[in-house]
Amino acid sequence: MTVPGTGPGTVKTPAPASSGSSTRHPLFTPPARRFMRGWLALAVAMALLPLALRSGYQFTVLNVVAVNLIVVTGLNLLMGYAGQISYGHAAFFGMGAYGSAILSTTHGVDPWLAMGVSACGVAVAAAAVGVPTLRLKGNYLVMATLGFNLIVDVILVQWSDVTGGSSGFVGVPPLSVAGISFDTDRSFYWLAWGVALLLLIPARNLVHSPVGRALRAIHDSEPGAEACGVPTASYKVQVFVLSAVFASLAGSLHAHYLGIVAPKTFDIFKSVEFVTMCLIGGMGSLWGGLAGALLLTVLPQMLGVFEEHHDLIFGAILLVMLIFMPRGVSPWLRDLLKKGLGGGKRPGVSRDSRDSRDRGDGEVRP
Amino acid sequence: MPPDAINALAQYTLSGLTTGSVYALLALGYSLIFNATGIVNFTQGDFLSLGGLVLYSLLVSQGLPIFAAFPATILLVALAGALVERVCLRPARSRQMIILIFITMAASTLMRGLMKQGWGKLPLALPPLSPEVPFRLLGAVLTPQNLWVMGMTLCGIAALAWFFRATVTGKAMRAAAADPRTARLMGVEVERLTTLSFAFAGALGALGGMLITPITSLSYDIGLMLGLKGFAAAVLGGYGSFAGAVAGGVLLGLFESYGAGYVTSAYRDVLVFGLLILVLFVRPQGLFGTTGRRA
Repeated sequence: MTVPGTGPGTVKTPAPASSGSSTRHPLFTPPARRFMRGWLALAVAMALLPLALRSGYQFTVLNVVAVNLIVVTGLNLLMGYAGQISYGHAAFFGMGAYGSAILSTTHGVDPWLAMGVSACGVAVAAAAVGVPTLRLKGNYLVMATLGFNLIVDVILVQWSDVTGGSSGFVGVPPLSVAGISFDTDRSFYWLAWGVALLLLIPARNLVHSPVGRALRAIHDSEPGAEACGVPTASYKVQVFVLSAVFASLAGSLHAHYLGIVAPKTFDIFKSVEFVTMCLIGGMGSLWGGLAGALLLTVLPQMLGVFEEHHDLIFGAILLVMLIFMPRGVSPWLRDLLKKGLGGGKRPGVSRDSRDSRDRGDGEVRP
Repeated sequence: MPPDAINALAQYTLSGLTTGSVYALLALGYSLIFNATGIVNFTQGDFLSLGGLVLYSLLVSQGLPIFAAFPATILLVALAGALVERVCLRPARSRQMIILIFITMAASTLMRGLMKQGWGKLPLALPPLSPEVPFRLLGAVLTPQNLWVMGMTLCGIAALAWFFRATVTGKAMRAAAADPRTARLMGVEVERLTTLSFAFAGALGALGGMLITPITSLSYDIGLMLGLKGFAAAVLGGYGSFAGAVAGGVLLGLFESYGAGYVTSAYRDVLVFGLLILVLFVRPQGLFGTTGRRA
């Protein structure tokens, strides 16, 4: 965890409020041109990709990538920027999924409304969990979020009258817009990637707003941020709630897409998987989240061939990556991209200042 | 109190103390590694599974007598613990806490994969330490294995306490936990002691595994939930405190047993982790923890 007194130099002061009226509402500032170029390139690529895809299975995998990307984007805000660990996001993912499933199937609510109501419910739940939990640090925060996930998991299994128990909840209706139903792999592809791409924009805006800088200050040194006037407790809870809502929306999409939800999808291993996606992609980088979601969704699918040896191979790959590439694949990809585009420009010269951040914080002995 | 109620209470207490002992052993393992490195080691539960599996192989497949197989298993799993530190954590490029924690998670997945390869997925039957002759105590039915679990746990705790108080290495480990830099200046080889901590954690896990798996069942993933409960016990007692680990383990075991017996057995895990979270809300540093430098 952050050590008080790592030096005042590491504390970034939040920008003064006078930096223009557009920074007042961080979620809706116009995104910077550089991000927008990358975003548009991705959007065009994802729009053209279906032309190259042959089987419905390929669509299925990419749809799962999109759903995971939504969760990872939210989780990245919490972990990569605010520096708070959560091993409980599969619980919010599951609450969104079950909320949507139960409301739309048992109570006949319109799927879109069910999705919204679930997200609101999750926001309230996340605030209730977040206020006391985020006061905790280090291993205690790890345990509290893990414990929360375990509790939700047990309830989903045991409250079988409502949730369908361990065999799951079936018959969830698909989402539809103006008569077009997103009930096939191909049609859902457009919805999932549309939502995933759209949600990247507010996430990016938040990161590059005074609030985002304040979150990074919390990451570097909480007492330091507090001393600079950052309301740390309130900001931590707010970003926790926001990331939980992202997870809930992804969960609802998941439920309406598959038509079935099962508690196994929302256990602590799913939470660990989400955190792993953030780490492997590169914490504190939204594009890294994309890389992580892609890699850790596609890789297990490919390893599906080795069903029996899945743990062995997956564990080994993860271990090697974490030992030798602790900053994830995104700095490496960025260098590769720069080299490719910038004609032999030396990598690492114009690195983002964020890259150097994982020195100095969370220093662990010896 | 009617005799039936006393019987039930005695039964719940004894089974709570039995599982609580294993939680305490695991919690001690977590605390040892926390004091040495500051991280949560998620392979702790896998040390437990490995202990049971290795003992099974030595005892059943190799036909070794129990008095030889028991210490041999402890040594082998201790070696595995040291290997986790040397091979997975030592070469890590990052000292960031979350990365190191995740390395132990990946190592745990890998260990489960290896154990599945080696021993298969089907549950195995590990014979108890002595013939199963149930007897009654205060109306509760007790097997000798229950006594073995509690007795051996006490022995393990006593040995650990002796080690930390009476031996030079133990004192050096405490010094390194209190202040690694000063300890290093005083000539303590902190890196070697970190490896030793992992070996001890492995030994504690193995002890727990050899004792509890004859009662529960033995398979490659038995340590998953037990490991999490051990972690919960360590947090409950106050992370890093040895007395807290033992107290947290016993309290958690008793609470779980009473909760399952008197309230609801379907939601026992909700009760356990709910209690834990409530305790943390009131006492963020655990029951016996201090608000020290590190949390």
